[in-house]
Amino acid sequence: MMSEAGGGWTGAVRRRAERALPPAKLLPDTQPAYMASWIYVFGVLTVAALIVVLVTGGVLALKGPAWWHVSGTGKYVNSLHLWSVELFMFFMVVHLWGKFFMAAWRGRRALTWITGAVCFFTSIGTAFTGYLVQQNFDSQWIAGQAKDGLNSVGIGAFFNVLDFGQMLMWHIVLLPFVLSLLAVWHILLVRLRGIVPPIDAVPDPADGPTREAAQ
Amino acid sequence: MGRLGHEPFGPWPGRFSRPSYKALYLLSDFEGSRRMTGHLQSVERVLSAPIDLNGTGHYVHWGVVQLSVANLVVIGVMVVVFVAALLLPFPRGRGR
Amino acid sequence: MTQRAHKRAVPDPAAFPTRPYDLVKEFTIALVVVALLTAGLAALFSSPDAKPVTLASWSRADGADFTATAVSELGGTSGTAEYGPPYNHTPGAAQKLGPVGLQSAAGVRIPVDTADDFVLRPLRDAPEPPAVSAGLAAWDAAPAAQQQAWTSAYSDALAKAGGGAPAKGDYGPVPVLIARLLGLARSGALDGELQAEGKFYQTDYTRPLLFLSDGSYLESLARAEHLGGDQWGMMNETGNYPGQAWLWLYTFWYQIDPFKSSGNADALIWGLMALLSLGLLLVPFIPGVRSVPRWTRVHRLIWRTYYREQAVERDRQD
Repeated sequence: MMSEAGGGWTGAVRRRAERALPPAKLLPDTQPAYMASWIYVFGVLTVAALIVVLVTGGVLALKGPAWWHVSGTGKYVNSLHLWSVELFMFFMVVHLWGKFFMAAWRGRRALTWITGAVCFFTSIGTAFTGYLVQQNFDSQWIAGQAKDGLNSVGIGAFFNVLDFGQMLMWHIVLLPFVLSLLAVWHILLVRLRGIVPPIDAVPDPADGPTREAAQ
Repeated sequence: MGRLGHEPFGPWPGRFSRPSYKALYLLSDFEGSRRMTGHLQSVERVLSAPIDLNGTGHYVHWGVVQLSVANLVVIGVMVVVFVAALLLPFPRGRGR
Repeated sequence: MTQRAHKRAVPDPAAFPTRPYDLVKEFTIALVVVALLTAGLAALFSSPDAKPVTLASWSRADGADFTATAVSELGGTSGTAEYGPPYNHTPGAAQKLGPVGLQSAAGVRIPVDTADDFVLRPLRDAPEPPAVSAGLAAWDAAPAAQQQAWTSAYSDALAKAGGGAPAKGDYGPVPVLIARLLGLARSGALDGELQAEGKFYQTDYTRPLLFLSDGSYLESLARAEHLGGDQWGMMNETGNYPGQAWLWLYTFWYQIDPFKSSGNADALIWGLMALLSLGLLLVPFIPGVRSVPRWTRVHRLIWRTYYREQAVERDRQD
């Protein structure tokens, strides 16, 4: 039996997590009735697209960065990776537009907005390093151009876009890891705070389940 | 130092053989053209895309703004999808 | 609606009526839809793969441009040679954001000596015909001012000749050295030398890419594909492929003054975009901006079901 108190650090972490996100809150099977718009599906579409991006990238990793230039199958997998990225950015921006017009940061949800925005910029950076490691004409030109912007603010001295090895490791290790962590954080915040009510919504005291208010 | 009358960009006599003129012609035509297509190996030609987007790019000019038709299509579809998401009725009471 | 309406505490979602909703099913459907869309788009359109330029292909396709670039590398007048940090110390070259010189502050962390790295060392590392050995010796023996005089005279002569044979003049060993470099480039040896630099394993393409970027050939190919900076190129892709539409605001500033004609354009624009990005992050805290959703009433569309029901409920109670 798990100890109710005590249990050291492990027990403390577990109790904290359970208090913040009990299973019914982590994976609810209901949602507020005011969620009656197709705009709400773009968050999950973005997540789904991210997963396809990661999986197709993983397949490309199986055979290395030069594979897609010499194999028809590799070219198709590269195309999957490209179009899943286009879809990912598409869905993410539509999701951003929707969340802006809903002022979804209301009710202590500023951090949800902030993590989302950081995901957006991290995705742009990840896509950028992706273009750099294609090992074709695009990569050459983009590297030559981007170096000027980065050098002008001192970043280029440490982040060398002409260094394929460095850019590859940022693209396939560092940035996907950070982006995934940010995305998970963002989603957990959504579960933690619940979906933001409509602007100027006032609940009817007679409505709603009678359970203690979420934090 | 004597005057060195070597033609700077002619074929270099000496140890290295001249590149074949045929290769030169093919290469200069390939890269001199506006079609910067990658060469698929002949084996993979069967997997070429039905809609080849590798041709000359089309662009729309509007004052200082210059957008590719492709990007315009993507942005246009995004706006259409966004508006559609706002307007289309969401089915009520469906236990999806 | 009072002016301070937005300060009213936002109610807890749990206080509202709910309905059943299957999140896992929704996610599964989304995953299948996205996977199918991706597979379809990839099958229909494939992806672009324009072949990279090599020093070999460049020197064969446009020997004049390669030669002119090589002379500028030797003479220290190329873009890279006069770049400043992180490649070298060039007074006045670094960009500034107002009084702040971030480019200089970062220092020379990727040192490149264009004369040595791009011209002299490749010549020495390759087998040297006697004329080249003599040329290298003559170059090393000459004082810097004499080297400068030779390279700028030869640069001028090449520019005047416009691709043809340059007029006779005092260029010292420069024509021999550069002609040899051209030969090395055309044979493919220079690609190997600049890339490997005597090492075995290597994944850093800084030197060959800087050399390529200093010439006009790479840029002319890029401009033909609308990839140039003043062509909104940051957003574009080769051919008719969609590019990076999300970079629209990054590239926009390069198209207008004061940035268009500023030597500090990159620093200014990156500084501006950093500020605007921070602004996007902090939208919830920016007065005015955070009220735009309320004013634009798009939310009335999104939540029309709820607002309608509330109105009905209010009428019923009245």
